[in-house]
Amino acid sequence: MTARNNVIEADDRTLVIERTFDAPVELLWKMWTEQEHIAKWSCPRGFTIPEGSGDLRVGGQWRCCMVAPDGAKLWLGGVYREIVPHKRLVMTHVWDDENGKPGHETIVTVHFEAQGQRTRLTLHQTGFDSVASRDGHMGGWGECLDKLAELLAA
Amino acid sequence: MDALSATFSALADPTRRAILARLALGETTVMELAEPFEMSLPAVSKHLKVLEKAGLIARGREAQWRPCRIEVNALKPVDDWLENYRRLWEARFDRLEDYLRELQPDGKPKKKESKRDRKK
Repeated sequence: MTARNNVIEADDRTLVIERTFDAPVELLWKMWTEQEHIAKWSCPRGFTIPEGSGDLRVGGQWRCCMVAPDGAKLWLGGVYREIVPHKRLVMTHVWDDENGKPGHETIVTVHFEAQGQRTRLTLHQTGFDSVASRDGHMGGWGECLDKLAELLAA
Repeated sequence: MDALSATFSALADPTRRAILARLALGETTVMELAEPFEMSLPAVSKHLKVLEKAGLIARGREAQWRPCRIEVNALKPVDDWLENYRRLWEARFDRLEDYLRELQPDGKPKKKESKRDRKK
C-alpha cells in the first residue's frame, strides 16, 4: 500500500474529541469506571440514566438505559476491551435499535493524560475499527499508511 | 445488516480504503487499481465487489474495462453518524465538567477547554 497525494488519513472518519478537565486523573478514572458516577454525567442534559451495570474487566459487559426528556427509553451497552487504570479505557459502544436488537457496533477509546491536578481526555470513536478487529485483521490502526481520500471536499 | 453497518464493514479493510483513496483521484480500471497492491486481479475484484455492494463504488458497463468510480454520497451517512456522536460526547463532557465541580466544590472552576478538531 502506498501513501498518495491529495488524500487524508483514513481515520478522518474517526471521531476525536479532546478536553481538559479540572480534576486529577484518579478522579476522572472513577468517573468513567464506577456506575454511580457514570450515571451522573454520561447522558445529555434533560436525560437520566436510572439503570446501569458494568463488569469492569476485559471481556466484561456494560449496559445502561438512558431515558429521554419525553420518557423514551434508549438502551446501550458494550464490552470492555482494554483496561489500563488511569491511562486507557477501550470498549465497544452499541445502541439497541427500535426492536431491542443491538445496532451498529463502534469502538470507543479514551486516553487519560494526567497534567498535574488536571486531566486531558482524548476520546476516539470509530465505526469500522470494531468490524476490523472483530474480523481479526486490524492492520495497525492509527499507524499504518492507509489513506482515505477527502471525498466530501471534492 | 443495516446500511451503515454495511458501509463500515466495507471500510473495515485497509486495502479497500486504499482502493477508495485511489478512486477519489478519478475513474480507474481494475488493472490500474491492482497495480500498486501486489495482488492478483481476482483478489482485487473481490474487494471491488464488496465496495460495490456497499454502494461505495459504481462500475461502468464496458465488459472489458469496467472502469470504477467512487460514489461519494455513500459516505454521507458515515459523516452524519459521526456528527451525532460528536454532539452526544460534547453534551456528556459538559455534564461531566459540571459534575466534577459538584464533587470538588473547593476546586477552582476554570473556563472549559474544548478542542473540536478531528485528528490530523
